[in-house]
Amino acid sequence: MNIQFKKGVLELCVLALLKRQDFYGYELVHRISENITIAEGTIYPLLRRLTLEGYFTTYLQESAEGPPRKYYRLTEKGKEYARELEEEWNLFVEGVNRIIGGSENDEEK
Amino acid sequence: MKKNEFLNQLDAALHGLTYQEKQEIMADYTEHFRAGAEQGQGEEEIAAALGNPRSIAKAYRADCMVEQARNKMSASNIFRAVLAVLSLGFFNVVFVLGPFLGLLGALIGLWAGAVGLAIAGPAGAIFAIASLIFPHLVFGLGTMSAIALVFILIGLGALGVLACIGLYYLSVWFYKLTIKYLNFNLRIINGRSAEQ
Repeated sequence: MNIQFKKGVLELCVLALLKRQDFYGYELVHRISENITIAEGTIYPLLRRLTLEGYFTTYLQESAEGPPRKYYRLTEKGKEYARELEEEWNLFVEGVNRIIGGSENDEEK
Repeated sequence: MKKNEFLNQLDAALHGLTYQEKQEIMADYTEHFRAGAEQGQGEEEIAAALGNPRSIAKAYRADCMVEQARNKMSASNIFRAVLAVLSLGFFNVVFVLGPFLGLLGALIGLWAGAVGLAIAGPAGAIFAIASLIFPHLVFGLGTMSAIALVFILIGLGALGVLACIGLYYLSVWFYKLTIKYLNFNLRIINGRSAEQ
């Protein structure tokens, strides 16, 4: 798959999940790998990068089972970015689907 | 691969990172293993799903090296950043190394020219002055042409110094441009390791 594409999609998946609720690393990674074939270890570098760029903040929260876990929360900047990526994604998918469905010239007619 | 083996390989492959960066990264994976175990996953299963610790480390190294080069300007930092980004794959050798070496070569050439002028100008002027004072010892230039030569050489020397100052700013700009480009490149290419 196209390189730009996959990177963008992973980012989008992470942002879309965090838009709904805060997650800790394992949970977030697991939700993505359940749906997309991916080496789970590659999501953590992305999380770190997006945190440094100010799209997420992290906080520690006690867990029932053991030591506190690191949770990720979307910032305002992150929410804005998530909206942008979702919009781009939807436009893109619609376009591809028109081509696949053979109706790409309909608008010109 | 067991948990300890995975973490040791990752730790070893994260060379060049600051202590704090390393601690944070290792903590993330340690927590991942713990959370996986709580869900009833075996260590080997978790490690296999994570992927190759060495390619994971490459992504972190590229990020951190570029960050370090941005925070502290030095020739060794920028070279390490370029190398770390190069390690991400063949694509980068073409799109990073090519332009970087090309521009670096041009910059070095310009520096050599400017420094050459800045040194050769005054040095030549001193010879020309010497030929004025000792017309028979040094070469037999006429007085008028020797004076003209002095001015021309001093002018060239000044031009060389000016070029050096200009090139200093150009070099700083090139440094920052390289960082920007590496960051841009990382944004695009990061998903690549996901395919391996």
